[in-house]
Amino acid sequence: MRLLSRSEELVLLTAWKLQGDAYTIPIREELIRVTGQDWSFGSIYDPLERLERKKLLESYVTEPTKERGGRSKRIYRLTKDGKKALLELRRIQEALWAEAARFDPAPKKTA
Amino acid sequence: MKNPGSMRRSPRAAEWLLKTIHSDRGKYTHLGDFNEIYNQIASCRHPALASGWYWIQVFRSLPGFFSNKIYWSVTMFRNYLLISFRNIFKNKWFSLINIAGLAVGMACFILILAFVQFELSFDRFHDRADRIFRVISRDAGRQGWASQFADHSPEHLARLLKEEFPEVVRATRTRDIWTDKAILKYGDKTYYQKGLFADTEFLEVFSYPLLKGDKTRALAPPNAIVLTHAVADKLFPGEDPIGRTLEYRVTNRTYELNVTGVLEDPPKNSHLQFEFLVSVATTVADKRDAYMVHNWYVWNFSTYIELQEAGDQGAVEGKFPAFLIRQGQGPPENGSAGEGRNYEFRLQPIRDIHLRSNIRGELATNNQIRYVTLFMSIAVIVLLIACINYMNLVTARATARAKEIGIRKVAGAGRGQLLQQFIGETLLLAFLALGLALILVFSALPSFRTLIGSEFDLSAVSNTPLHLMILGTVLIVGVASGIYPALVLSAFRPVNALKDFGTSGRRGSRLRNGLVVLQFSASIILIIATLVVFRQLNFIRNQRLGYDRENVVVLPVREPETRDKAQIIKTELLSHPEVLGVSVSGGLPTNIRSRYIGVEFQRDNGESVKMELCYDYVDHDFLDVFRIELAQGRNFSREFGDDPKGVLLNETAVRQLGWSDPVGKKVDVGRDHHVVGVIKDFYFASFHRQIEPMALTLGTGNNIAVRLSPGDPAQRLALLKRVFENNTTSQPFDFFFLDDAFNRLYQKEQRTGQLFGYFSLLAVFIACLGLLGLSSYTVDRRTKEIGIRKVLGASAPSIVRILTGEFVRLVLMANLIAWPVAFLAMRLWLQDFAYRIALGWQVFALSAAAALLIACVTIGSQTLKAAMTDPVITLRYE
Repeated sequence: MRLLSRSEELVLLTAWKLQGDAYTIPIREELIRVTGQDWSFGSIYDPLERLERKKLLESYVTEPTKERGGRSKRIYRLTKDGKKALLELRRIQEALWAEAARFDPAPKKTA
Repeated sequence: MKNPGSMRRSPRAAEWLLKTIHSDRGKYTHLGDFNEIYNQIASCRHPALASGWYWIQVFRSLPGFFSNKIYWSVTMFRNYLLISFRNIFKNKWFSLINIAGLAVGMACFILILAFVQFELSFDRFHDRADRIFRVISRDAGRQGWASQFADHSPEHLARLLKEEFPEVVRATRTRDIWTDKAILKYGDKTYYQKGLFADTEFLEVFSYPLLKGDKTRALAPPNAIVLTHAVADKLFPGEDPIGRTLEYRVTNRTYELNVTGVLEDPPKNSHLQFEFLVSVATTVADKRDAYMVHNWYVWNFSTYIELQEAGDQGAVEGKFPAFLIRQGQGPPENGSAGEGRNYEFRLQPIRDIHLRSNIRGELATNNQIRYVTLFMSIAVIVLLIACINYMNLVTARATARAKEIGIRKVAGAGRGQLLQQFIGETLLLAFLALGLALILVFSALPSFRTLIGSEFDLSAVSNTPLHLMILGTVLIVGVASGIYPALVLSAFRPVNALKDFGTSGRRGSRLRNGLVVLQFSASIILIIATLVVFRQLNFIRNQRLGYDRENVVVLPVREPETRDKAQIIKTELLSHPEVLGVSVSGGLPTNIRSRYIGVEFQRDNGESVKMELCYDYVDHDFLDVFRIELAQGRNFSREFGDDPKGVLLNETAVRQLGWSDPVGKKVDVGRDHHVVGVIKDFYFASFHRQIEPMALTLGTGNNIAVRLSPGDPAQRLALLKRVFENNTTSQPFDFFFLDDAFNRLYQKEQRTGQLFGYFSLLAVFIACLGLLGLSSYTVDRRTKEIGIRKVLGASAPSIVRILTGEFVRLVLMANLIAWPVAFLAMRLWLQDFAYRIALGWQVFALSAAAALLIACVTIGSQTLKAAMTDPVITLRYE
C-alpha cells in the first residue's frame, strides 16, 4: 500500500479524532488549532477527496440546515483501511524515530 | 456561535461565482461549509468582514479553477478530436462531399476577397492619402459630353490654388504625353514607354519612393526625366542612369532629356500608371507649348492638391465660385469668362478615384464599386450554398450519431458540451477545407487574374487584414454551419437516441427541404444571370454595327516620318491583292470621340441652334474600308475640288437638326463647310451610350486602317510588316485588329459574364454535391420502404419516380423563388445598356430545365440503385 502524504495523514487523523462530527469545518478548525498554521479549504477538500477515493474514508450527507444557507454537510468516517493505514504510518514513524534518536537525541517536542 | 435567529445568506454574487466555477462534486456541501464560516464571522465579528472573507475565498479558488478547467478541456478536446477523425474516416464519402463543398466555396470566397481587397486598396499607399484630392472640372455652359466632369484643368491652376487657399499645402500638376506611349532612345536601344509630365511637388504629394536622385529637385529643371526602376534597367543595364542624356520622341517632338532620378515602379494599385516622368518645366520652356501655359482656355493638365486636413474639402469647394470670379472666369451672369462658359470645380478624394469616379478622360481604366459589390455578393452566395450543404448533410445523418450522443448524455454531458463538440467538429472540417481551399486558390490564381482582367497583385495589398479575414471566414463558416446541426444533435433525448427511434423528425426534414430550395434558388439565379449576360454580349457582337470590323488591321502612326510616309505606304499596300482598301484617318469606328465641337446651325425654320458634334478627320476611302453606308448625298470624292470644305454628317445629327434636305447645307466646322452626304448611323462608341451626332471632314490622322481579304492572318501581317518597314526606319512595326479594339469596349461585361459563368457552375456543382449526399441518405433510410413496395408489386420506374419526385418538387419551388429575384436583378443590369435584349421567358425556362436536369442526373444513380436492388436483400437485414 502506498504511504499517505503528510496532509492526508493529518486530515485523516483529525477525522478519526472528531469521531461523528467530522466534516470540513471542524476538521479545518482543529488542524489550525493544533498546527498553529492557516489551512485553506482547498487544503482540506483535496485530501478528503483523495482519501475517500482510496477508500480510507467514507462519507454521507446530512439534512440541510439553516445556518449553512440551506445546504447539507458531508460527514466523514474512517473505514477499516483508514485506521489501518494510520496505525501503519505510526508504526513506521516510531521505528524510524527509535533508530534516529539513538545517534542524535531530538529536541523536545511540543505537541 | 450558532444563533438561529440571525442566520444569513452569504453575498449572492460571490456565491453565484463560487457555484459556477466549482466542480460538480460536492458542490452544495462545499457551499454549505463556506456559508457556515460566513455566519460564524458575521455573528462573532461583523457582517462586512464576513463578506470580505467570503470574497477572498472566491478569488483564491480562481487559479485552481482555471487550471482544472484547462486540464479537462484538453482531455475532452483529445476525445472530441479522436471521435471527429473517426467519423471522418468512417464515412469517407460523406466527409469528402462535405469538405469538397466547403473547400470550393471557400476558395471562391478567398479569391474574390483577395481581389476586392486589392480593388479597395487603390491609392491608399500614399502617406497622406486621406488628404490628397484631384481637382475635377466641367463647363456647365456646354452641352452633352463636354459638360461632364473631367480631370482637366489649366496649367496654372495648381499654382493659383496653392497661393489663394491657405488650406492647400501642396499642389501638383501632371499632363499626359499626347499619345499612349513615347519613344525613349539611348544608344541603340529604343523602347515605347508610357509616361506623364509631372512637376516638382508630384514626388512630395504622392508617395512614389525615389531610389536615386533628389526628391525636391529631380523634376524641377526643364528637360529632366525620372525613370522607373524597370525602364532604367532596360535602358542602362549595369550603369548609373543619373546624369545621362536620352532621346525622347512623341509624334513630331524630340527632346534630349537628362535623367535626374530613378523611381520604384508604381504599385499596381495606383490609378496613375507610368514608366517615366518628364518635368513640366520642359513644356513651360518650350515655345511651341507656350499656348498651354497660363491660359484659361487650354485645359490639358490634371491638378492634384494636398489639404491641411481631409475635412477642408467642403470649405475649399465652397470657395471655388468666388475664386473663379476673382480670376475673371466667373459664370455668364457675372459676365467675365465669356462665350457662355460656366466653370465648376470639385475635389475628388484620391482614394475614390479607382472605384467611384465616373468622369471622362480618366488616365487609367477604372473599376466600379458596383462590380466589386457584385463580385462580393457572388462569393457570399457560393459560400452560403456550401454552408447549407454542410448543414443539410450533417443533420440528415444525425441518426447515425444518435447512439454516441445518447451515451454522452447518459455519461453526464450537458447540452453546452455537446454544442461545443459539434461546433468544434465543424470547425475542424472547416480548417481541413481551408487547407484544400488554399491549394485551390494558389493553383487558380493565375487563371483568375486573367479572368478578372486585373493586374491584381497580392503583394500590393497588406496581407494581414486578408489573413485575418480568411481566418474570420473559416470561423464564421464553421460556427454558422455548425450551429444548427449542433442544436439538432444535442437536443436528442437519450432514451430515444439509445433505443434508435427515428430522431430527425418531420420538422427537421422540412427545414432541410427549405435549405435545399434556398440553395437551388441561388444556383438558378446565377444560371439566369449567366444566360442573360451571355445573350446580351452575343446581341452586341451580332448587332448590325453599321460598319464591318472583321479583317481590318490598324497600324498606329507614332512617328513624324511615318506620318509623312503614310500615303506612300498606302499606295504600296494597295498594289497587293490581299489588301482590299486602306484609309488614313484620325478616328476609328470603334472610337470617334477625339474632338467635340460646338457648331451653330440654321434650322429649316430659320432658327439658329448650337449643337455639340463628335468630330474627326477621315480620308476619301474611310467609308469604303469600314463599309459604312451612305444614306443621302455622296462620299468625299477626288473629282470634286471643293471637298476639303465638305462634311459628312450621320443620320442622328440630321435628325436632331430637323433638316429635311441636308445636302448642301452649311455647317461651320472651322472653315465654311457644307454637307456633301449623310452616312447611316453606326455605333462609334460602346452600346452603353446612344449614338451621338457626328461630323467627318477630310483630313489625316494617326491611324492607317487596312482592310484585308479573308485568309491566313500570319501571311497578311508579314506582308504589312514588310511594306511598313520598307518605308519607315524610325518606328518599329506595331498593329492591332479592329475587332480587338471593339472587344475591349465590352471587356468589363465580357469578364462579368465569364465570372458569372464560372461561379454559377461552381454553385451548381456544390449544390449538386449536397443533393447527392442528401439523396443517398434518403435512399438509405427508405431502403425498407422500397423493399416492401417492391414486394407489393411496385415497378422500378415507379420507385424512381417516387424518390425523384421529392427532389424535383424542391427544385421547382426553387425556380419560383429565383425567377422574380433574377428578373429584377437582370433588368437593373441591362438598364446600363442603351441597346439591350428583352428579358424573354426562354431564359427562365432554360435555367429551370437545366436545374431540373442536373438535379435528376445527380440523384439518378442513387435512386436507380435503390429501385434495382432485390427486395430480398433490403428486407433481410432486420
